[in-house]
Amino acid sequence: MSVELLETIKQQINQLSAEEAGQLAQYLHERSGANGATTTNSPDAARREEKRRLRAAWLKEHRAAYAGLYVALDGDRLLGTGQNYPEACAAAQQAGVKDAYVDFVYPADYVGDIGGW
Amino acid sequence: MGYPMNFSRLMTYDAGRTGILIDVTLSLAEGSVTLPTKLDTGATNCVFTRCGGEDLGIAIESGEPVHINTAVGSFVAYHHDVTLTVLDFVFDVRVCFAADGFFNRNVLGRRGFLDRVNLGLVDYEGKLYLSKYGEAE
Repeated sequence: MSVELLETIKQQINQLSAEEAGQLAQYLHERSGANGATTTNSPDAARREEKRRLRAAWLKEHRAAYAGLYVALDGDRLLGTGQNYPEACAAAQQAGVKDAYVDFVYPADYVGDIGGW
Repeated sequence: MGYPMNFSRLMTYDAGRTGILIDVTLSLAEGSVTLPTKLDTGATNCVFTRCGGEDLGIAIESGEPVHINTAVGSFVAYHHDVTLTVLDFVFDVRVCFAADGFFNRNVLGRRGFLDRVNLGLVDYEGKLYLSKYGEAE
């Protein structure tokens, strides 16, 4: 596909309503499944895996210190913390990192709940 | 006084089924798996079947164990870091995979999903409105 055609499609997508954009997203999602696209070997996927490895090591080392908080990480670099997702996201934004990992640090004695059962 | 909200996505689901089912794709570098998953606002976590994790190539017991209570008891699951995709929203999150192979459902709960989206529901019409938290409207 040419770059021009791709840009034209992107411009057309920007004109869609929320409902139409949702239908398109659903279609693309189903289409990728129908094509059996189950492997991801892109450079982006490799970058994600490297960051995943770095933050896993960071989380393992610092779990006790940040348990119960949301942390924003860029690989193994702590960008900030928060009591909730928006606060930690704001810390990441302040640090100038757009694709920061933001998630809850589970205490060692954490017990989850599925209340609807 | 009204409380208007805007959402960037609308998906439809079959309101006649027993749950609000959403296709969720979990991925790692090695591959991905798409699982029909129930939206559950009463669940603290996103929990998936052991089979779903194993299909991704995850050694389930290598993760951090977590106990999850239900109305009739508890079960053990293990945390693993995956990329979770709903529609075209992509999140790197820790989700749980049940240790017991008999756990036969996938659940989208608060940590890892509901804590980072804006969600609206019109169940009668089978409509689910969604935006990523902080997404420009």
